[in-house]
Parts: sequence; C-alpha cells; structure tokens
Amino acid sequence: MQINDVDVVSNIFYHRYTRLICFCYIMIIAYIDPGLGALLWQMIVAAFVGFLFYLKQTRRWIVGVIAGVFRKTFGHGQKPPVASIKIPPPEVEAKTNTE
Amino acid sequence: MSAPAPSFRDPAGCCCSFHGRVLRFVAAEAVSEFEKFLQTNGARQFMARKKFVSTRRLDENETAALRAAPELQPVFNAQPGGAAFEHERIPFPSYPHEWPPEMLWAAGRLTLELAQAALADGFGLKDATPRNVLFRGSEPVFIDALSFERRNPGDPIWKPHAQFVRTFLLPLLANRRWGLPLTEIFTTRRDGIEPEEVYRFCGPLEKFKPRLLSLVSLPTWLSRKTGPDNQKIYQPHLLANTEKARFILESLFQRLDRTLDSLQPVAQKKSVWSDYMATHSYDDPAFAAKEKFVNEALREFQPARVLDAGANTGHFSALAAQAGAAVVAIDLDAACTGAIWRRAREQKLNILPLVVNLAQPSPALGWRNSECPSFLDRAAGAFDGVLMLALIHHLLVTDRIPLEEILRLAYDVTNSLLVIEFVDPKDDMFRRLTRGREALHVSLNAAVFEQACAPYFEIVRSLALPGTQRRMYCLKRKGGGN
Repeated sequence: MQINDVDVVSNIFYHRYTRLICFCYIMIIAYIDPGLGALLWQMIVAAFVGFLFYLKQTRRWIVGVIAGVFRKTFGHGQKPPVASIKIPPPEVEAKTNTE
Repeated sequence: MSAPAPSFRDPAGCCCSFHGRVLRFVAAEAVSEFEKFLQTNGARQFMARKKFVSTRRLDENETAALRAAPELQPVFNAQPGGAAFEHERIPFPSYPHEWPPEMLWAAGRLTLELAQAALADGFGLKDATPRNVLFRGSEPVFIDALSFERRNPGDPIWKPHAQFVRTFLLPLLANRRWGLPLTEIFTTRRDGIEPEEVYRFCGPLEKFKPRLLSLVSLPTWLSRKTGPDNQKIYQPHLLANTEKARFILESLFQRLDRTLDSLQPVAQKKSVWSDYMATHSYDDPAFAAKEKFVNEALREFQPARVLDAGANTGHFSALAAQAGAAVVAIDLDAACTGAIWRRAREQKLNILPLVVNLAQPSPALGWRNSECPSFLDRAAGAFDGVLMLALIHHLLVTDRIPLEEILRLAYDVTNSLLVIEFVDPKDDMFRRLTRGREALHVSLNAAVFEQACAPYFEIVRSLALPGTQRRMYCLKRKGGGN
C-alpha cells in the first residue's frame, strides 16, 4: 500500500502531537466522574460567590476612594481628623475651671 | 515472585508494588509538572509532617534495572519515555471499607488540607477519594502523589467536588444519621454513595434540613431537571478574572471544611461491645493476672508487628504498642475501633484500628479482585505476634468455626508468638453465647485445646486466671516464620 502525503502528515501529527493533546486533555478534564446534580449545584453556588467577590471588590474600592480623599485632604502620613483630636488631660481641665 | 498489579485509572501514570517496593510510573508529559508539584511549599511541608508519602525519582541505573524485569514490561510499555519514582512503603495498607467513621473523617480532613495547600501553590487536586489515603498507625498519609496537576487559574470549578461528597460527606452523613455501616457502603460501592441514593432514605421534611438540602436534595432535584445528554455542563467554564476564580474555590473549600466538621463522628457513641471493659466478667485479680501474662509474653518475644484480633476498646493493643510494637487492632464493632483510634491519637500510640470481623474478613475488592487485597492476604505472615484474647468462644459458638481452623488461621498470620485465651464451656459468657446448644461443646476442655495446638504451636507457658473458667496460653509457632 502506497503511503500518500496525507498519511505521512497524519502520522507525524499522531506521533508528535497526540501525546501533547492527550496531556492537555488530562489537564482540562479530570478522569473522575464529576457528577451531575452536585456539579450543577457547585456552579450555582459559584455564581453566587462570584457576585460576593464583586461586592467585596466594590467595598474595597469604596474604602480605597475614601482613604484617597483623606490622603488628599490631610496629606500623606496624616492621621484622620477624628483620631487627631486631642482630649485634654483631666487635671488641665480642672485647672482651667478654677481659673 | 509477586506479579505487580498496577493502578490504571489515572492516564498520567500508574503505581504498583514490586518486591516490597512501591513504584510509580509517570507518563512523559506529566513528569515535569509532577516534579514541580513535589517541590512546592505545600508538598514539602506535608512531606516533612509525614502527611504526604515521601517520593523520590529513580536515577537512570535504577530505572534500567527495573526495565530489565519482565514483570514490569507492560508498565514501561504503557508509559514510554516516562519516569519511575519510588514511594515509601506504608505498613499494612487498609481501605475505607475497613475504617471506622473517625478514620474516614480524618482522611477527608487531610484531603481538604492538601487541596487548599495545593491551591495556594497553583495546583489542583484532581481526585478526592479516600483511596488516596492510607494510615500509618492512626495517622492518615496521602499516598496518591500524582493526584495533583497544575490548575487553570481561570477555572472556578473543582471537578472532584462531587466525588468528595460521594466518598466522604455522604457516607459520614448516612452513617451518622441512619447508622449505615461504612463497611457496607464501601464494600459494594467503589466510588461512594450518590445523592440520589441518600435522597431515598430521607423523610419528606428531612429533605429540607440545611445539610441534607445542599448535599442531597438540591443535587438530586437539579439532576432530575437536567437531561443526562446535556454535555455543555461538563465544558470548562473559565473566568477572565483569575482572582475571582480563586476566591470561589477558596470559598468552596471553606464550606466543605465546615460541612466536614459538622459530620465529625460522635465520641460517646455506645454499642453492644463498647462498654465491655467496664462490664466484663473478670474480677480485678483475674484481670491483673491476664494483663501481667500478656505483658510478660510481649517482653519475652518483643514482636515488632502485632495483630490484636477482637481488640474491643484496645486495652491490650495499647499494651503492645507501649511495648514498642506496631499494632493492627481489629474488631467487628465500629464504635470500638473508633474508640481505639481516638485513644491511639491522643496517646500517640502506633495502633491501626480496623473494622474487621475475623469470621468474615474483608474480601478482595476492585477490578479482578486485585485492587484491594483481602484482609487475610495482607495479614498472612505480616505479624510477629497475634493476640486472641476473649475471642475464641465467639468464633467457636457464634460463628461455628472449628477449633483447629482457628489455630490454623493464627498459624498463617503469626511468624512467632500467639497469646490466646482459652474459654471453657463452663464460663458464663460461653454459656450465654451457646443459647441452649451446650451439647455441641461438651467435649471441649483445656486438654483438648492443648492437643489441638500441638501441630502448630508449642506451649511456652499457661496460666489459669483466678476465679474464672479461663486459661491464658503463650504459644510459639512451630517451624519458624512464614
């Protein structure tokens, strides 16, 4: 039987690349039974948790923006205004009252 | 020469036992990633903690020597251009159908810990079955080193999730809620129990209880709604945001962790035999004499490996372990073996407790009955000492095993020592077990017992336990070891 070019090409493809494809297959598809209902339930929960991820990202973004505003207003390394308010010690207050 | 029986399900390689060595053959394409996984922080830490089987790549000379072995030709032919690795050998392999629920729970915990550690290193666990775990004493060891592959960073789905549910969570749930023995689940089902199967056990309101709803009812309803021909579900669903994919997986593992915690077996579970140590018929001097006798035999023979058959809650297993032996403690009662496991873990004793009925030991299971050897195949010649304490009357009366058969079995299992307690038919417990069949054992006495021992064992010493109808025997196997 004469081997034509297509056969040669397919043979080369088979020998060189089939194992590579097999490897990709191994990487993508597990050999275990992924189930049906449990897999679907996992996907539904994953969609919900993905939504929570965006909520978490949004919260992080809002906190970042607020922190940025404070940084712009009070400069780098400054404490926020609430923390920087100093309450006078009680004895100083007492002295002021007697005056 | 033992013919290797290689594992065959994983296309990335196989594992087999050969002349006492545990060899793994990895396909050429998977070698590089496998070695990279072994170098990850997670794998190294778990290996250092002895929670992950130690693995080394065989050099060219060692591989060439193996290649010359004709028995390994099929394995090398199946993995051309692959590499050979050697694992440490875990003594006395055991399987999920022999574990008490406590051990299945511990194996599940280790599986999740490893899956989480691998995720942090960019790898994924591609199968989650208790068959990936063996026990070294009471401690689980993950043995299927090839179960890890580099994960696609955009994949938010853990494919083995359903397998983890089938093989860990649902068996634990069925055992806890309905008392379904793990032995029955795993002897007949290699891959655990399906949600649909558990669903049939649930009452109408039970189906809506939170744990059952997520593990059983919702998966069952979803699978009914979806046609079995819908292949789109199984296509990879990759996300562009890899951080999100990882967040989803981390969240999944945390949920599985919490579910596993909620299914942790209860410590104070009672059974017919779990109170035996508190309610047995010996008075204190008799029990002290028995304890002294066993201790002396252990000190004299110093067995490295001991089988305690009919171990109950493991009092004498603990004595053997404290004397330096690696002990396999078997009992048919899962509550008793669970108690042994807890004690061994707390006191760091080298005891492997297994749910095995000596009258009906675990059969060989799996494809061609060669994937999990039977208990007796594993036990033959595997022990230097056997303890058969307060057991013989159960075998003689309840299971109707002839005395000579019991002694032949002990002869097959031990290489040297047998400590056995002879229970006379006049003993209270013996009479209770006979239930009106006393005539069957009327000719049995200590002299007959000694005569039956003669072909297999020589009597080193014996002792009548004071105030009882029982006699302890320290026997030495005739004709050397197996």
